[in-house]
Amino acid sequence: MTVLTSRRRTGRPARLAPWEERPSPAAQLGKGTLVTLIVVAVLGPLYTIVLTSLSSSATVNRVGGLVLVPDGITFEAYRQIFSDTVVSRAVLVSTGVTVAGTLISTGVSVLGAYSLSRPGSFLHRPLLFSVLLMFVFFPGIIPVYLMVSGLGLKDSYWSLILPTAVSAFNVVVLRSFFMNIPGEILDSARIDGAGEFRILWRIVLPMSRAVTAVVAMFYAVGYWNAWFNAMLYIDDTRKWPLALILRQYVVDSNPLPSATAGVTGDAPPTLAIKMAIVVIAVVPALIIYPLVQRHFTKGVIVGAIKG
Amino acid sequence: MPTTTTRRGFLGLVGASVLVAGCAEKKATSKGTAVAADKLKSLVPTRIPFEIPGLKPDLPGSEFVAPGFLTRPATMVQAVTAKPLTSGKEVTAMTPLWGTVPPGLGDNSYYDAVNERLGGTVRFNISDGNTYGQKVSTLLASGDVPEMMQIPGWEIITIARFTEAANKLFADLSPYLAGDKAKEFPLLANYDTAAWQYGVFGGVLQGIPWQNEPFPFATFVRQDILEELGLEQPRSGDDLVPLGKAITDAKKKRWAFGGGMEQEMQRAFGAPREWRKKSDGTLEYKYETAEFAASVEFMVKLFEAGYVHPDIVANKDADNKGIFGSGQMIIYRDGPGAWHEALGRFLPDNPKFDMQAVDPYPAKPGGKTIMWRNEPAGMFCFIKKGLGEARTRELLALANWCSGPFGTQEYELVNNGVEGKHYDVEDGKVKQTALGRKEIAPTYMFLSGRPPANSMSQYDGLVQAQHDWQTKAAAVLDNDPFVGIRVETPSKMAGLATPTEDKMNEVFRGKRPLSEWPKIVKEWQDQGGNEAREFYMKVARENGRL
Repeated sequence: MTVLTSRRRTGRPARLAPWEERPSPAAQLGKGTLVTLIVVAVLGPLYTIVLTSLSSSATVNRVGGLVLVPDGITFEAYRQIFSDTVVSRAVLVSTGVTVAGTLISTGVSVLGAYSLSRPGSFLHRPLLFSVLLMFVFFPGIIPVYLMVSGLGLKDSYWSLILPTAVSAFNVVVLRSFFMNIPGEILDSARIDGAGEFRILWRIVLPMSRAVTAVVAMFYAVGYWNAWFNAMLYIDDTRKWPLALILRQYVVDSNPLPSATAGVTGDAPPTLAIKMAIVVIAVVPALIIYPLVQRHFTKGVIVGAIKG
Repeated sequence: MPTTTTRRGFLGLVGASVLVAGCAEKKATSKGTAVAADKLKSLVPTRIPFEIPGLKPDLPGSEFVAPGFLTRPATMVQAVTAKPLTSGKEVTAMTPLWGTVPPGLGDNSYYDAVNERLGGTVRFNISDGNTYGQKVSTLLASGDVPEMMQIPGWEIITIARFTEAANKLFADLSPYLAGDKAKEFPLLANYDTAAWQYGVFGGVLQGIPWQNEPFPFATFVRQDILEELGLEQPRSGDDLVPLGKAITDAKKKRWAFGGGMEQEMQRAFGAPREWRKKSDGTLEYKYETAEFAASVEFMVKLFEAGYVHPDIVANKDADNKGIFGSGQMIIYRDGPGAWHEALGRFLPDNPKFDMQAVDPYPAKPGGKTIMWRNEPAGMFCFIKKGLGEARTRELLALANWCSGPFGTQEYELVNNGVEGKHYDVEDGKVKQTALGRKEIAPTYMFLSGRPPANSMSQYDGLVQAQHDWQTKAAAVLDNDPFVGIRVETPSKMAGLATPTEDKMNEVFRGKRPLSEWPKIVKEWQDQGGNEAREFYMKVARENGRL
């Protein structure tokens, strides 16, 4: 209060709250420097990765690692990657699994969260308890493996989707958001004769675009980056997603076991190819994030503070 | 809200989970097993060397020196005339892969060519070598194993109750291979006996061994850069300090040493690879020896002087090969396979690139030089239990076919594919085609092993240099008190290596004082080292080694 009073005395516009006032030049410089440093910290590695992916093997060997200063640009690494069906097929697999998985996961999570947000729904408490239980208990790799194997899902794309289809965290975030929708709106819809599915589809979902978009993005990024399930359940390399191929190329041979010495005559993939695959794996996230960003803050904050 | 879970209820739930986790069965680990030398003989094949008609090495081999071939043989001999797969049933196999992923069955002409020659199809389940252990443990725990499964030894020691699982899931091979029975599979009988003995788990012959090279590593130098600077290779550990000073020039982005030198120094100072018999009849582990402590002190000097490449100082696991190839680092330690790999990677862009292995050297001029003896086998191929005698024999025949040594058509097909398609021969040198680079991955070779051959004649001078180095190293091979006994390392002891050596690396980097080394050794002893000593001493006593 004191501060406000003193500021009013300086003749600054009274309608501005303290945090809206223009900071001093020193503070501006400090903030600018900090933001610049953060941008450099984020863009620096990205720049190095892209530049290395566009460098020749001679340049990479000369500098002995990641390239910081350009010395000729070549698309050889990308040409090699896309001339090989392994990576292009993996891009398709990842895209398919991500799209299908995101639709399934978001759909199931929305349905589950909506039912759990309606007090008095069928088996409400036991179901809610089960969802919360998923927070604290991980079933373990072997039971899940046996279940996937028992259901005949090994070597099937479903094994990349179903074991991780529902995240308890996302269900709770959605449920918190749905519970915040005024009950009067839903009651009036019921009076007008709408059933639960119509209420969900026509009223709840349109009011929850932000949180649904965020949850969908969480799922999409999760599916795009997932490699462990594929490593475990997919034996056929033609069905491997990009994340697993990326791991195979990038986290290779370090250390290459001496047991294979003298037999594997070929050199490991060049750093340029590794970095090109990293670029290919990162691009979709770079495209999706800006599109969802405007929903992101709102969706996460609302989900986090309500309920 | 009466229908929601209360905060108290939620906390109770968390508490219950902690309680359940606490009550969970303690993770069981391998306590180690050992099989006496006498019993081992009755379990494994009698060695019958496989002579390839018309193939005589240019440089003769011996027990610890691989035969050298200065030129590629004009013709390769067919070692197995009959097709090994006769049942028409597809073989399922799981193998690790480090590197690029080949196209799958149906899109891979290399697979087609080998399968055609085998008389049946092998369907590989290739899995990332870096996460292979996780997949192997899951499959072993679930009991869902393929017909043939390659498991590296360094994963085996990390898998809880591996021997128990192996005995339950994998076939006993002695009924097919013990003694003279192995004559039916002459290429398997061609393996070194010590390697076969390593395939014994819990007293049962189960693993078809991948025979290791006898020496674990060497000190490598950039000979071209040493000559450019007018310097010579080190002849003792003492030479490393002046070499470090002469080579290191941070302004020119050049440092003397890379990673792994500590192991070379442990060897140079005379520490054992693992256990050593003391004069009082007990055993001491390498960490406990004065030689090891001296090597730690020496390494601290190299680090303090700034002679170690900053990438390695920042991260002990940083990539050595890249900075070695670029000339930023001149001397480092690596496995024998790194030699030809580096030549293949760097020579095309830098024809002056000259990598040489330094002859085994002592810590002090005139001191005693030793070379550590590698474990006889590093990886094992297992065959599923309960497949029936006919199928097991068929799979052994497949492993036998895949064991073709250098000089056989089988070796060529497994390693290089089809001539004219996956590789060409120019001036007696194998050159992989683009298709070969894309399609050929280590797969069939992991269904067995084979005696090493020094055959990379495509790199000028490499075969002779390797032969010379191996001959010198073999002459100073250190005695191991457990040679000829199959000892499976207790998991607890294997698990102590990384934390102990992490602490050692902190000493090198000045994060811990050198004076802490005895304390680190004491921690190792208290946390399981002493327990392991008791186990090893019992094994040694039972075999008359103490």
